[in-house]
Amino acid sequence: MLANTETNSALLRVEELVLHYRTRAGTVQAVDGVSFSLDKGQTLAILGESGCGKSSLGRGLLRLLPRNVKTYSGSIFIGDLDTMTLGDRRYRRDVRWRRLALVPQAALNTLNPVLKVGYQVAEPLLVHRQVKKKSEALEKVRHLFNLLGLSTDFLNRYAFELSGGMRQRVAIAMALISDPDVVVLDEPTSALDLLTQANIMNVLKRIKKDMGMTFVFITHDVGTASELADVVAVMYAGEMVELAPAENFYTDPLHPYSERLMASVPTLREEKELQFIPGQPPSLINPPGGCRFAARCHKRLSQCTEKEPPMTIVDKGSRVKCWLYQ
Amino acid sequence: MSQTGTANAGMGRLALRDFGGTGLRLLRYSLVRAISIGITVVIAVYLTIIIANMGGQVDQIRKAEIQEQIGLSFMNNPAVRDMTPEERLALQEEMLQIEIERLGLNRPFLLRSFSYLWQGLTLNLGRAEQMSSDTGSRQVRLILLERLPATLLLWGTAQILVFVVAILVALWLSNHYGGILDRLIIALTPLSAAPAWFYGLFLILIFSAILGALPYGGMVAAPPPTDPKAYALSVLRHLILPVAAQFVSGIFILIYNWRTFFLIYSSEDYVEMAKAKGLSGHLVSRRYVLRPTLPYIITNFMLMLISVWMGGIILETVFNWPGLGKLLYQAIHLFDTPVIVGSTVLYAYLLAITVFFLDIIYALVDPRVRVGAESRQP
Amino acid sequence: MDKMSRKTIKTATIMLTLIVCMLAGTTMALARTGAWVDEVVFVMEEDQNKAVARIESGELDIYTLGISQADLFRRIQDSPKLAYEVSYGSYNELTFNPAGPVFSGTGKLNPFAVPAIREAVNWLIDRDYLTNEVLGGLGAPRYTALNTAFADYARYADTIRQLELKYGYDFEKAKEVITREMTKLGATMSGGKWHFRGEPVTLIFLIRTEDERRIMGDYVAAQLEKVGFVVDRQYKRGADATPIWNASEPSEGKWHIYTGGWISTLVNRDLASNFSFFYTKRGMNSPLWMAYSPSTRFDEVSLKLESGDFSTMEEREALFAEALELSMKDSVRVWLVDRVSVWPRSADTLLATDVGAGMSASRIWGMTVRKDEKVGGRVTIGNASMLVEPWNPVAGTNWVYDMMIIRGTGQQAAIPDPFTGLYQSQRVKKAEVTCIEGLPVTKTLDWVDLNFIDKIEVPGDAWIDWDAKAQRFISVSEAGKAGLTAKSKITVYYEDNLFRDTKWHDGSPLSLADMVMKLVLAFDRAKPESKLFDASAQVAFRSFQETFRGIRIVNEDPLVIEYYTDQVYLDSEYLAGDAANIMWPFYSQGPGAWHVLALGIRAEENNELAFSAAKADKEKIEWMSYIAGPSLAVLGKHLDQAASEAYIPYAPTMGKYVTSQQAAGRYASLKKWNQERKHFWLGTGPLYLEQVHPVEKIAVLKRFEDYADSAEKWAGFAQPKIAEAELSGPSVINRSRGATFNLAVTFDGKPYLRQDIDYIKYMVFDAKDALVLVGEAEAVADGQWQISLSPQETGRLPIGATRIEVVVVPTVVSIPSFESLQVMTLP
Repeated sequence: MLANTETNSALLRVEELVLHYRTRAGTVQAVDGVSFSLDKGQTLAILGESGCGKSSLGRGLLRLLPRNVKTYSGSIFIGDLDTMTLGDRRYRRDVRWRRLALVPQAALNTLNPVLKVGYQVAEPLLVHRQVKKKSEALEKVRHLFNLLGLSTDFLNRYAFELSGGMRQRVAIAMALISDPDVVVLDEPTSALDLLTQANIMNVLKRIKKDMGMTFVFITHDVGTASELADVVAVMYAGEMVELAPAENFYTDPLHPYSERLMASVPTLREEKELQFIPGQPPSLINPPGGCRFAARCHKRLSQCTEKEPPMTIVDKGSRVKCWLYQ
Repeated sequence: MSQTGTANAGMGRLALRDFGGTGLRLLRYSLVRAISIGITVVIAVYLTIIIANMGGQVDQIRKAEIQEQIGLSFMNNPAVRDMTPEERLALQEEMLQIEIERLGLNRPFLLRSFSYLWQGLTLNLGRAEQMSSDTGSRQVRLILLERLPATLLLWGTAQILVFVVAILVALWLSNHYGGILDRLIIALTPLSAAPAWFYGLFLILIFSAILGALPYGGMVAAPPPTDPKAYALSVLRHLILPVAAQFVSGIFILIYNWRTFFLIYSSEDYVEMAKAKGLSGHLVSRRYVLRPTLPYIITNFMLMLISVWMGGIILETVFNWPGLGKLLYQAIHLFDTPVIVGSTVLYAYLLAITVFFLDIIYALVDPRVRVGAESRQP
Repeated sequence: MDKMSRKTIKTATIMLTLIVCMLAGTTMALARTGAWVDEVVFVMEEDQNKAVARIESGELDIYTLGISQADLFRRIQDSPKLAYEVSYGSYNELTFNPAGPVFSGTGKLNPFAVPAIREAVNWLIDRDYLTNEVLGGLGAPRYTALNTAFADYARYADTIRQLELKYGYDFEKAKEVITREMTKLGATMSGGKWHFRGEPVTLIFLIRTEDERRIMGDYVAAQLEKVGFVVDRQYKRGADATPIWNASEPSEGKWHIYTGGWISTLVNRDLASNFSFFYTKRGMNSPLWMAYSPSTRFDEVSLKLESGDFSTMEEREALFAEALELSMKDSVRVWLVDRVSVWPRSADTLLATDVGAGMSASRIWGMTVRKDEKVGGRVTIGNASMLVEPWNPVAGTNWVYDMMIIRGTGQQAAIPDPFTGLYQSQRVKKAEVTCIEGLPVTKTLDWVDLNFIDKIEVPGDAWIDWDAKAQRFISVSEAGKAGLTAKSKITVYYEDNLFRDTKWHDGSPLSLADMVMKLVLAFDRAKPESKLFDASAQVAFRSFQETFRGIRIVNEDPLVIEYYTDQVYLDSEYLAGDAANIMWPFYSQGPGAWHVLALGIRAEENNELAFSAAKADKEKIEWMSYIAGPSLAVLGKHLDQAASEAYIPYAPTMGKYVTSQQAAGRYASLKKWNQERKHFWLGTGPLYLEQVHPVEKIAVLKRFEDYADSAEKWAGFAQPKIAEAELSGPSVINRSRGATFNLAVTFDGKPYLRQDIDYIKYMVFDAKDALVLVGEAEAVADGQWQISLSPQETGRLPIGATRIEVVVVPTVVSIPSFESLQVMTLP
């Protein structure tokens, strides 16, 4: 059901990705049939509230699965290669961190407290034998640090000596070091104060511009995402409910949920009365039949609760999962 | 952007200037620490002296025992038959006084306690009151030293073996959490409820009594081989069962302990990150689980090491092993204060030194620990 | 030659060969000198159960710990691979606090201040129950102050049996007496419990926990509770109990009863002083003994017995009878049981065991230990504990297990018989004992001659003291004691070839110098002017001086000495033994050659080592050890020095008995010995110390080839000949006709020789357990005795149930045997 035109030139193409977990309460359907594609140099922002499954999507992209995974299916194409077809060992050797990298949520604790920061950033290079000597690797790290605005002093420092913002940058460096095709960033700025947030976003923008890096930017912060996003996807209750180019989305969100999201974000110049969405998102265990947003939708139709709406292509390249656009 | 750069540079300069201050602070901290540990040692040793002598009560017990023994030796003794009863009583009294004087029981206990303390602290271990070393010397130093090699051989071998195997297996298990082996080992942990000597008895029953393959006990065959190589082999053969007993008793719960410990540390974010980065399981275990927990492991290892020399009385009795455990128990039984004080002081000093050096070792091994410094907030 | 004769020659040759082999074998056995075995290995095994298991599996042959656990004993009995020896030396009793009747310390009542109540406790206790149920048969009921296994018990068996019957278990009688006496004291019974001054009468019972005394204590406590006392059972270990029962003032009232236990260290032939020791102030110098107050007559009688104030055995018997009765009335101790200890060994191993103190006290084990009836081989002995303290002959360790090993390496000149306690000769040809008239001394064995004269004067040239400064003996006349008399004189004739046949283990021949050295050291260590002065030696020396009257060497080779003393014993063999041993170089803690002791003397003079622990502790030097430890280096140094000088210690005296050439030869032999074996221990016994490993607790003894005695010499002592008696005869006695009963006495199925029996006493009791007839059985043949009762004698028997009891007392074993028969008396 893909519509987008440049299917062959897409760097990252995901089709019907499903990720279900087994828990004692039941099966958590965290990611339920998500599809999108992304060109090189583009940034996809995945928006959604807590518990909508976007972090699972991020991890699912890198096959960083927990022990209680029940279903993991779909296709993830990087270029022409469907990485889902690869065995775990090959995936680890060839794909993870070589073609796809992750900057995880709450990066503050992602650094080993007893190893030097520089060494940790260099580790992927050494492990994947992308360099011949350690000094070469550290050279690359130095270069990257400069790019990211980190003092090269920090190569010999330890994690606890760095502030939050610096650690985030180190995490980004760690993701970039092995020259991946796509970097998935999971809430990279959520734990930071506004000033540092701004700094990090600047860094990302620079990298995007200078290195032409492709990002998948997962966040709940609509405003922050807007700085980087070329394409925006909205996730709700494990499903992708809207996928649109950024200009379209920010000026004219299609899905009722997206509308509400945009309405809740304060804008700099407009006078706006902020609105919120009443109710709670449904549980991912046994999600309701029909449209999963129906219970909270202000534009609900009768059929919304009965039948699940298909993904509809609307003009200007946007896609939306809503009966309103049938 | 530039702000961050300035902040970074500033921090670098701060660290350099700090160095001289750190050295001084380190010294002062060490001094304070050494003194406080020293005071603890003194108090511990003195308390031991008081307790081992029941606050001086033991003097009465000893005097009464000596009197009884002297009386017994006079009973039906033809040598004293022809003495008048008064003469005999006077003789008994005289013998009593000689013994009392020999043991120093005529001086009040409080005074003696301080001389015990001083002698102990200066490692002037002195002479035992009633015990002798195996070769007949009264010197406490020899009494302890003679049995030390045998004790270290048995207990050191067993404990180090158990420790190292436990850590390695636990590390591996924490990676294969929930598997069959993991569950098997957890199921076997209640086996550690029985002490080593219990298994010792069974092992002796099976291997010595029934199969006759291994010796019943002792350190070496009787008569001992004269050739040193044969002697070493004989000792090795006699080591098998007692070490096995300690191994069986201690290994499962230790593995369980460490495995749970490693599990907790394995669920840290940076461990996941390392896996994500593509590091092999083996490398992740070593660098991301073992290394951060090194201080804790080293502490355990060192504390285990310094108590190895005390041996264990029942296991040594079961296997007829000439160890210090039995000897120290005898000393307590006989209220032989110099030996008790000697062993307590030895242990106290070993502990004090270990604790003191552990601080320094932590700093070497874990960069988060800066000796004497307050912890920095990120 | 034809076929037939060829066959005959062949058969004859085979038979001849066989006979020659047998002869050779027997000759070998007969010609075997010294120890039967080639090697004895001692190892340590603390656990009794493990030790028995190891004997069963063949790893050990003998275990030298007396076992008293009934279930372990049963296991030993049941196993075909195990056998055992028994010893009878330990016993248990109840010690009472005699202070009161009201404790001044606590104001509480002490019923045991009243002798009648103490006496009543005898009826309260079922000693058969204790023996059979609690001890599993490993014991015998004991009622009096005399061991049931020793000579004096057998001597006065009739008196004692009557007392045993009188004081047998009778709960009602006990209750009656106690009720009567308690009421007299002013106590009242309410709610089944005695009350005194408003409070229930509580008895503090100190019960020892380390052995079966715990169960016995519980039983006695339960019985006391049944007669109305409240019992506060306090379980204590030895170390905790002793300060209370022995060292606290009895009037303080910290205790009422204690479970006492005693052990004998050898077969005791003379128990006369038991009464003084156990019932009067003369026993021990402790607060408890000082509180004893026996009746005036009892005190008198016990003093007479203790000091030997009688001149005939009949007088002794009368005194004993009185003392026994009075002791039961006094009952400040109520005797419970004599314990039997079982010493396990493998079924095919033998060795002589002392019936008083067991294997570890056996002095001839080295000569008798044997396995499989073989010549040669190795025996492995398990010791419960060993190599704990230094070994030196003068004042080294007296740890009983080490002493056993030491006794394998050397013996005395006269050795106590393990079965009778009488001294047997080891190196003495004969001894003449002369006593003054009126002393109750007897003789039993052949090596001693006994005669009496009216006065014994000590010759002027006999040695009586020692001048430590001049290092020479002082004679009787020099000491100004001319005209000194003695009660006994013993002339000892040592074996003719003593100095040629007896060798020390390093090859040095035994010489008179070794013997004089012993005498010298006995004196020198007690003299303050000597460098070897040791305060702890003074004590033993002083008691020796009380009776010692002089010693004289009459002839040097063959050696004959005269020994004068005021010591008196019932058995002349004891006097002969004392005399033979006084100069024999076996010191209190082991054999000692003069050249070996010379090293120690030098070391002690230099204040580097000390023979005794007391001196070592006082001077803060090492306690001398000839086998291990820091002493060895010091002794080695002195050996080199002594060798270079040909040092003769105490030269003014010893110089007469040894030349510097002989001295040099001795030191050279010792040096060679030490280089090969790394220790300095020498003896003259059948086994020598080959290796000793104090840390590993292993000692290895090997057979000494130059030991002169035949291995058969002590072979008869492998098993004590405890007699088995069987009474048979008519089941009905006709009063008017008399009666004859037959007694068969055997050992191991073979008839008991007549000359091996001292006497057999019979006692006839009526239905009320009253003694009617006493007499001695007549020997008919070996193993056969007869009891003939005349019509006058049977005429005195009342009609009804009659019991005949028999006590068999052999000469070769001090343990008497008992047997009884129930019959009916009719008119």
